[in-house]
Order: sequence, then structure tokens, then C-alpha cells
Amino acid sequence: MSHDPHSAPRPTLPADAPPLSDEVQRQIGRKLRLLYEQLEAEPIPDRFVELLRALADKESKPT
Amino acid sequence: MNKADFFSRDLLTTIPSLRAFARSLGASPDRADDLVQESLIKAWANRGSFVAGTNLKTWLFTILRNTAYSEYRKRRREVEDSDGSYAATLITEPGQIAHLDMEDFRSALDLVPSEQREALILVGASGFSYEEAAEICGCAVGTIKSRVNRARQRLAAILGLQEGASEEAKKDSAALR
Repeated sequence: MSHDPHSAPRPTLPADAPPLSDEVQRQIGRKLRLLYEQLEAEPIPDRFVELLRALADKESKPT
Repeated sequence: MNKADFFSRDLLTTIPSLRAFARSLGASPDRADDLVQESLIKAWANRGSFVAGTNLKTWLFTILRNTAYSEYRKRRREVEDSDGSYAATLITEPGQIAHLDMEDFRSALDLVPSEQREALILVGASGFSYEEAAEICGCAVGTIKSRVNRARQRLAAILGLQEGASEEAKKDSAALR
């Protein structure tokens, strides 16, 4: 079932592993979202604005 | 605005999330931006194949993921060794839970096998449903659910949060020490 190449030498987690406690799941979820939101909050670099403008301009002007 | 302008504007609004996804998959800031740029160019070139009214974000994430993986396959051998020695420096003692630092979390996330990690990020942070994540990864919904569970178990084990988790997960954590 697993295609994970790293799992071969170690015991794999059984499919029926008891679920993590709600508190642990919440902690992981919170950290994950926080990390992602921090990354998402970064301003869009100019290079992307310029790239998209160039692509759109090229499109609207007949060659 | 013409059609191209609308498409360009829609692409622009997804950039923050695309960058966050690339970064949280473990790419450096520069590489993440290169991946995003490449994905935007591919998306533009293939916009004829985007079905209007379907989810543009899902489509773009699929393109970015495919781009990232085709590059990853080329580099695989270089990054293969990351699991063991690096992991040993990251283990936190139980009791530090409350002070779990973002850097530790990020490092722990890097140790989760990539397929599990991306599933967890797509569902737990990018805001996709299990079905959408399955579409992006080109696999079954059940596979995504299983990967998300395994990613959580693995993270909890690495971070010493696994109170009440399986003995197998604890052994896994011990093996990393």
C-alpha cells in the first residue's frame, strides 16, 4: 500500500495505529496553518506581476 | 479587460498560495519562486486546456506539483540521506510541547516523507478537500486520507507529541535518535 521508499528499513506505521489525541491533532493543525499563513502573507514579488503583465500584453497586441 | 487580462488576474491571486505550497514542500525561497514562475508560464501556455468554471487553484497546484516532481526525480540521489543524522538534532523532549517552536515544526515537517507531507499540507493548510487533493496528486481519495493520517502520526512521533500514539510510531521516533 505504501510507496514510501524511506519506510523500507524501519517499521512502518500500521494502518490501524490508534488515532492521535484531539489535542495533538489540534496542535499539528494549528502549527501547519500558521506556517502556511506566514508564507502566504508575503507580498507577491514584482517579477510575477511583470511576468503576467508581459504575457497578457503579448496576447492583446496582434503581432 | 479582455479574456487574457482576466486569466492573468486570476493567476495573480493564486500566487501567494502557490508560493506557500512550494515553500512548505521544502523548497528554498529562490527555488520556490522558480517553480512558481515555471508553473505560471506553463499555465499560460496551456490555458486552452483549462476548463472555465472549474477550480483554477486546483489546476495550478497540479501543474506546480508536476513541475516540482519532475525536477525532484532528477535530483533524488542528492537528497536521499536527509533522514537520519539530521533528525537526531531535532528531537524534542516530551514536556516541551507547549513551547514547540515554529522552526522545529518546519524541520520536523521536512522529515515527513514527501507524499505524506504534501497530502497533509494540501488538506490541512491549502484548504483543499480530500477529493481535490486526490486530483492534484493523481491518486485515490483513500490514499490521500491514509497519507494525511500517516503524516500526522509521523510528525507527532518526531516532535515527541505522540502521547497515546502507537508503539510503532514511538519505535519510529526512537529509530531517528
